[in-house]
Amino acid sequence: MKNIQLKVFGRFKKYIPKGEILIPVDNVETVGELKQQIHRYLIKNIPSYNEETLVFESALATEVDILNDDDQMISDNHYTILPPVCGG
Amino acid sequence: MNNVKVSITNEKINVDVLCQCQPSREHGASNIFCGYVRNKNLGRDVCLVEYECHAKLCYKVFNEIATEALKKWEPSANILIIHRNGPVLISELSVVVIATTAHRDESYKITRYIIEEIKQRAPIWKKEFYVDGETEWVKGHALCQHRKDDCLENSQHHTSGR
Repeated sequence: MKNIQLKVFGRFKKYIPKGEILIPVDNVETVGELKQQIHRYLIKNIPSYNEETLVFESALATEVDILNDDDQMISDNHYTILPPVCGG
Repeated sequence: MNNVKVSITNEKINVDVLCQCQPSREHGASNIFCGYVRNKNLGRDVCLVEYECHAKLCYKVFNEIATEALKKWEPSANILIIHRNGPVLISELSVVVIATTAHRDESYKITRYIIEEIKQRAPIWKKEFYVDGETEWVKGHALCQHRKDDCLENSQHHTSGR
């Protein structure tokens, strides 16, 4: 078990106003598996969070790269979750 | 790349920005796309929009998009992309894309390509404030890095937006 520091943007701020959250994760090998655990944690621990698809429509990123769901986890414990975008 | 300038700003964008992307001596065309905040969206009266950007990734994506446009149409084009961050009032500029090229066709194509790709790929989010006091994060486009080619192809058929 380890903790990851998850920075959030956009729609996630509705549920995590301070913009980041510590999430315990266990035995994750891929980014897609991490997303599953993030989703379960938010549903269980944030009463107002009722989004069934938001995590899965979002991309995880490091400070410099957007990650693919099938990417292997890196050793870094800091991630950012990027919900669907709407610039312009 | 010397002929690409990208910027994210918390300051109001004004017409001085036009001076930041001058045509080279071989350029005969300059095309400017301006996006403004409008007072209605999906039937609701909007009084303010607040943009949020992941600045570091935004700069990277803006540069990638501009580089793609240069390769696709004209390597010697000059390109400027400026996007607002933070609160933006109705009728204020939210984004400006300028392309200067040898002939007009490429300048149209480059600015169109860049603004459509920004809407699909740049890590930017928009919160709308309505006159009735409510707020809402605008639903957008899922980032799909792992199928970048598919995304690029799809976005060329994307015609919504300003």
